[in-house]
Amino acid sequence: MALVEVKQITKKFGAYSAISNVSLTAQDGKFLILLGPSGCGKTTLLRMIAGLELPTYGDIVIGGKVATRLHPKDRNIAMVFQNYALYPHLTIYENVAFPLRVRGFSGDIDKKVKWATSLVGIEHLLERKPRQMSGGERQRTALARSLVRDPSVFLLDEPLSNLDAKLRHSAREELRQFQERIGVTSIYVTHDQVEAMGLGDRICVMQGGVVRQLGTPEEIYLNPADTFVASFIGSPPMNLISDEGRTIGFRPEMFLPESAFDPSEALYRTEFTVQRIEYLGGDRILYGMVGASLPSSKAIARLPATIGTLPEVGTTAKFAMRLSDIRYFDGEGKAVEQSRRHEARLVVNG
Amino acid sequence: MAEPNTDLPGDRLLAYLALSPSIAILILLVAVPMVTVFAMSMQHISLGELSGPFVGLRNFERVLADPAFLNALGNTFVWVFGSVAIEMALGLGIALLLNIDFRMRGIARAVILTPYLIPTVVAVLTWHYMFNDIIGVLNYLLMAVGLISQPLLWLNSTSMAMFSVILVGVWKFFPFVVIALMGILQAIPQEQYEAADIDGASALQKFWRITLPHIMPVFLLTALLRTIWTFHKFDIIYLMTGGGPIDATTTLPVLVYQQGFVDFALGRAAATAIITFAILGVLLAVYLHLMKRAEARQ
Amino acid sequence: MSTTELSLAGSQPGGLGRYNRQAADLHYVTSRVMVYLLAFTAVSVIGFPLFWMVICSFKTSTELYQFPPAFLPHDWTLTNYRDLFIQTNFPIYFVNSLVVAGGATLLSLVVGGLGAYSLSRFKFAGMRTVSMLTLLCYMLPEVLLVIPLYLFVVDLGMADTLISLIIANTAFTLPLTMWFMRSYFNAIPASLEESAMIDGCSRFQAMRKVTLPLALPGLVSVGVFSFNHAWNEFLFALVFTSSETKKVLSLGLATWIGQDNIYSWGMLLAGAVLVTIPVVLFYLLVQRRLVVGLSEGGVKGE
Repeated sequence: MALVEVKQITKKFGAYSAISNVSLTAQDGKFLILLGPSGCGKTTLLRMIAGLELPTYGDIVIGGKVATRLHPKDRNIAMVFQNYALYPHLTIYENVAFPLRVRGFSGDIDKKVKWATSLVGIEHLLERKPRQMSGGERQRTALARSLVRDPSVFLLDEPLSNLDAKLRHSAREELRQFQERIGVTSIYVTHDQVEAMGLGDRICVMQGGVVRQLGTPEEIYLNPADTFVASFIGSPPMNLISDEGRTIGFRPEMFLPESAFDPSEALYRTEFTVQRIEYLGGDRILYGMVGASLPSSKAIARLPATIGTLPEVGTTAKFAMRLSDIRYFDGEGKAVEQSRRHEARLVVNG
Repeated sequence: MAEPNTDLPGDRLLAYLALSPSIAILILLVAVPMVTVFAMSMQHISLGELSGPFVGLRNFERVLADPAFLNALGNTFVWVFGSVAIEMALGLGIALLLNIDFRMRGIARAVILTPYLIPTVVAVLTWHYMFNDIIGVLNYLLMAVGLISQPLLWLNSTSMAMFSVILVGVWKFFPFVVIALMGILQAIPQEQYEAADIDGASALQKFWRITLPHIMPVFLLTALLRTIWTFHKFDIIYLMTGGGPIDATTTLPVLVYQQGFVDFALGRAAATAIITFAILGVLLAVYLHLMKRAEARQ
Repeated sequence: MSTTELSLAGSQPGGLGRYNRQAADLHYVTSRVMVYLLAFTAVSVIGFPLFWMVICSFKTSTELYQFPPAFLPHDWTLTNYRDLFIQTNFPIYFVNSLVVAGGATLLSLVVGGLGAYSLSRFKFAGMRTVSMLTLLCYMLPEVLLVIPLYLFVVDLGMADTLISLIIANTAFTLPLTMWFMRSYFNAIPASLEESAMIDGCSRFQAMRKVTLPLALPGLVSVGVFSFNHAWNEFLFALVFTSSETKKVLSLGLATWIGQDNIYSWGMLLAGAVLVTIPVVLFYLLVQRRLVVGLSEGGVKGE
């Protein structure tokens, strides 16, 4: 078990900076997610922690030891690659035994392999070659191979992205339980925000080589640090409406017909012209324009099925949201601090 | 490259260490000889010598003024364009045929590709025996079916020899075209033909509008490779005719050999070799230009 | 509409519908006949010299010189093969060819394989140039190189040695190996090696335990191409070697052509068959990769 610290890391490829001055800490035994769109630098960061790339500036510290220039094999980390990187010429058994063999493990290799493979439920497939396995089985093999030698840090690079949607969901569940059971510090790269929210103890949202926000899933969802995080997290994303150099934001599921609220609540009222309705079973997504006191702009509302009456397409209805659910962002898109919110709110209301 | 490159401490050293033997050999076996051949081309090297006094461009002047050079140049063009044109046409036809599914296609393909695999000297031996004026099976067969009335002097007449050599060259090397085109033919998505069927295209239309545009880049590249290789092909001509009768099949590479290792005029041979290389270079430049234009048009 | 009803009417409940014979289509039948006719013609015309070579190598000398020729030998004989080994230096040539082709192949595989690995896995200044230069080497006319190489061989006192042929052949087989193996290594995901390094391998161990086994088919294929190139090579052999004990097969057999008063056609053809056998055997080994390798521009034109 170990703490992983990333200290002021910058990575340049020629003139291009893939990572600019990033610092963060993966806490001991916790699940940290690196989340961001493709090209945000999250995989590069993971590869530097693994020792596959050398940071241009800054240091990687693993378990209190500076590891920046350590060879990957000397870091006691394990990594699950996006394509699983199973050795095609070896059987599943040999794949899992590989880390033990190359490290000259002195104990009972057979016992360790059986233990690791039974943990992920592939103990009956040991004689197969990787190409004879399904995607889910390969992913489990990669997991078994990475945990067989008790690494102190677990790195996972989009390990679920090659699975189909249904399998991905159950694999996510297993992965989370599995991590809790063995309690290894885990760093997990993904571009899928649902995966990130479901798996992470903490999420680090990255974009353009910098950390946009680091926090628990709740913090990131409820109080996005900037408009990028606000629009990247949540499906559909947070409604963002620009108004006099500021941006106000509200989640679609917080934006409901006025009748859905208790009249005693502190509400912000507006009008919503519905242009299209999508039925998603449990929810309905309403696309339309807000107006009235706000500058006319596109917005989305997500209404749970418990709200019986829907406004019809083409009509304008009274909609509202709680004042406490509104988020404010300044001209650069940064979230306005709690202390300054009051001020901003007055401006919007006035 | 899609895969990111690993960049670890010590990798750079390893990269250069692994590459340096290759580079060293290539420098010693290719770069240094290239420089040497230029140096030799500007020396007067007498019989039995390996170097001689510097004479500037005199070797080049002598070579270019030599009727034997012009003859060889003409022969080379006949040899190259004759061979490549027939190889490409035949290769395309056979590739299209082998792209159709039929029983025993595997055997047919194996037989058709074999000439490419066999050593040149074997091909030459076999054809020599078949071309034989007196006992050759080729004359017998052609006379039997009535195509000719008396035996042809395949290799021993100045008018026939080039044709015969081209015939052997085509037989030996057209399978390369077949292999290259078969690969790309199989890569054409079947859906395109099915869509064309539904749109009511005829077989000929499908060939012109789907097959040909698809294979064109590979077709041109194959023709380019065949042109280069045919241009400096030495062994098949030398072994079939030795450049004869008289000089009827003396192409530039054969001329270089004769100057260098029969007349032992290494300076002159070097000059001829460089001119040959330069002509090939011009040919390639023209060809690449045409190919770029063709690609731009698509 | 009506078609649906028709086929429904003709079918038994739970049984099959009307059988639609493909062969009943006249157009289809004609085109199939054409295909078989064309294929038969192509195979017999192209295959005839091969057939003739093999068949005639089993003919007695009387039959070999008889006109009109008989298509199948009246008396099958192995005399030609026996004479080849007893009366000629064929066995020496054969061994020499094995040494030269084997040596050049081994040298290219070891040196070129490492070089290709470096070109594929690392980024460094001039890497693209090196890759392009290897391709260029591969296009150079042999007659251009043979003159200066002859000079070096004589200067170094290596004339009439097999080692000079091994080295000269490397000038072509090495670029071939590098170019081919570079694309082969490119196709092996770098993440496999990275994974091996995280699992505890050094870079070198990762190469040996993961990349090398995966690259083996590629090495075998390009080894066959190289071997075949060197096995066929004629010009260097012609210029560099002269004594009987240093001749390789291509040169040895070539000097017999035109001397049919000394060596019979039967022996020559028997020799031709024997020279072909290793090449064909090797190609059978890599048959499936042949098309891929060749269409990637991976092989020289001989």
